[in-house]
Amino acid sequence: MIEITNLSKHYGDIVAVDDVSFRVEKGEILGFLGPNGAGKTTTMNILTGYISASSGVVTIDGHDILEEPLEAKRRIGYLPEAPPLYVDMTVMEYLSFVADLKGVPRRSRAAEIAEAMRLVRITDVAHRLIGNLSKGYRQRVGIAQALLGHPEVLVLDEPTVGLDPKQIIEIRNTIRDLGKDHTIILSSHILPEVSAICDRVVIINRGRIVALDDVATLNDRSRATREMELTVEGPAREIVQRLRVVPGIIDATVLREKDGIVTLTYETEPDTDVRRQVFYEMARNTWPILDTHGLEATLEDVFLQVTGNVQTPTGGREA
Amino acid sequence: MKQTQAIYRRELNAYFKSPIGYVLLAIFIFVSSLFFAVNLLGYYANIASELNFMQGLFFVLIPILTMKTFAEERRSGTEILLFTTPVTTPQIVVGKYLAAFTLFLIMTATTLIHVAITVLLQGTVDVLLLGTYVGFILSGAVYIAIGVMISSLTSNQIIAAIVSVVIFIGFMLLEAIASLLGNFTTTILQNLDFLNLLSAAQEAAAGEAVTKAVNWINPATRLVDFSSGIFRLTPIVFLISITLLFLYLTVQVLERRRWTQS
Ligand SMILES: Nc1ncnc2c1ncn2[C@@H]1O[C@H](COP(=O)(O)OP(=O)(O)OP(=O)(O)O)[C@@H](O)[C@H]1O
Ligand SMILES: [Mg+2]
Repeated sequence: MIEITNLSKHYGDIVAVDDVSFRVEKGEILGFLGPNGAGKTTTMNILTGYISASSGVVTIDGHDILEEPLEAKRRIGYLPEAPPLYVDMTVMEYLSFVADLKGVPRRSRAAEIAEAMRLVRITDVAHRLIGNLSKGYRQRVGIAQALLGHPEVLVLDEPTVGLDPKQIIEIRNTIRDLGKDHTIILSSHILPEVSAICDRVVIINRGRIVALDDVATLNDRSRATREMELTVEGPAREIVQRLRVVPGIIDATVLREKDGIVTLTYETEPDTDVRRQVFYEMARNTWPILDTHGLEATLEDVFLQVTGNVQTPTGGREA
Repeated sequence: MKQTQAIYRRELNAYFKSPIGYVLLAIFIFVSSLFFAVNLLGYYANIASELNFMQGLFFVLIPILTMKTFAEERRSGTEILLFTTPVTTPQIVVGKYLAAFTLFLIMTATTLIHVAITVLLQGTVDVLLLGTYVGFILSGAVYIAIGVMISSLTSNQIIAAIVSVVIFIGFMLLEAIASLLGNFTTTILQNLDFLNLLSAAQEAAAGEAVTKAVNWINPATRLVDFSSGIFRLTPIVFLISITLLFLYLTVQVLERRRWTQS
């Protein structure tokens, strides 16, 4: 459905996107993952026809975005990084305007707008001025706008940014539902988000694709190194010393200590589960474990895995 | 077509959602009515001179009218919506241009009240006035196209306004500048020509040619005919061509910018 071939974009000396190629199949939800400045927004701006590439080809359902821009754009709903909202319009006026831009027929317009508003739960603010809406609501108006005109492809640049946790879950569910009859590409720098919603993931760093995987494979990789958080009642220094000698534990550090209750994290060797050993070790010293849970692998962890280098991927070029 | 209409309607509405539309109308009505009233007191109701006077204010009124068109859209990031929906750049430009032009026509239409009063008081309303109106509207059309083009060059509406004002003042001074440039050319030729290769007449002719050339590109010089009631096709075609040229340039600026964004 979306085919990107050897895409590059230069800004003067900066290479924002460097020879990127991938495809998104019909009906697939593809996660586009990368740290700040990786080139996600730039790639999305190119594939929606907002800016041109320095080289490379993008086709949407067989229509080249440069050769047949109208045909290609008709098939795309785009939520840019900053939702393109006119603050002087009400939500209703704005969505009607966008429906007109997308050539939605007049008779189905009202129904389509109502449907989009229902999906992102903004029906109650339909007649409010966009300028007076909260950030989360603006984001949702942005998503509603992308849905108008029933585009087959949705391009969503960090769709859950600025939403509260409850809304994040709602929007993720909405996106998963939309995925049943849309092809979706969504960017994020939150790994759990991508693994929760997407079928496949493209990881990009400094403009280059560093991994292109099924979510299942990615999850396996990220499980390779694990960090656990542990809350114990007992003396901090001695607990750390004890933990460090448990086989399989690489390191342990105290996060905080208050009223004799210590919260710390420890890192284990790949594919090692040491929770039982830790339990017996603590029990032997009569330090009760109050809580223990695994920390989600961060994007950085995955990066270290897929790129195989230890240098941190963030803040590279921007610095 | 539908898209152009949608953009046109949004733009026109936007003028009246911000103070700009009201401010422009208020300034226009206030100044023109004042001019008319003062004339009336002197038993000298001349709408043509009123229009000419208002045309002298184009250099501030038109920049206020056009400064936002593309600059604001670029600053707030809403242009991405226009450029990623199935709308062509000419449709966007025409929609926005027509909205600004419509507000200008509304402003112009308010002077019809003065015409009505003049008629009621048995003043003269003749074909000369019609010519003045045509000239007024056509030159407004040109100024708006130029203002829109300047707005597409920047993301700062204040800069767009200032640049437009400077350029429009330049137009007003252009006739003076034209003869200065002409004289200057003649003088330079005389000084350079120490071998006397050119006759004095030739040097003067060169100067005149420069003056003529500068006047030729100056829209203001095309309006004289209208206010004397002479309708000739050439100036009309000329002014419409200039308008279309600047709309075309606007399209080019917008496409070029997205296509070669450095
Ligand atoms: N208009 C521009 N001019 C110059 N450089 C730019 C421009 N736009 C983007 N860049 C550079 O291109 C690189 C990629 O930027 P991009 O916005 O695509 O990253 P991103 O992956 O979307 O990051 P984020 O997660 O912060 O949104 C960055 O180094 C950025 O500084
Ligand atoms: Mg981005």
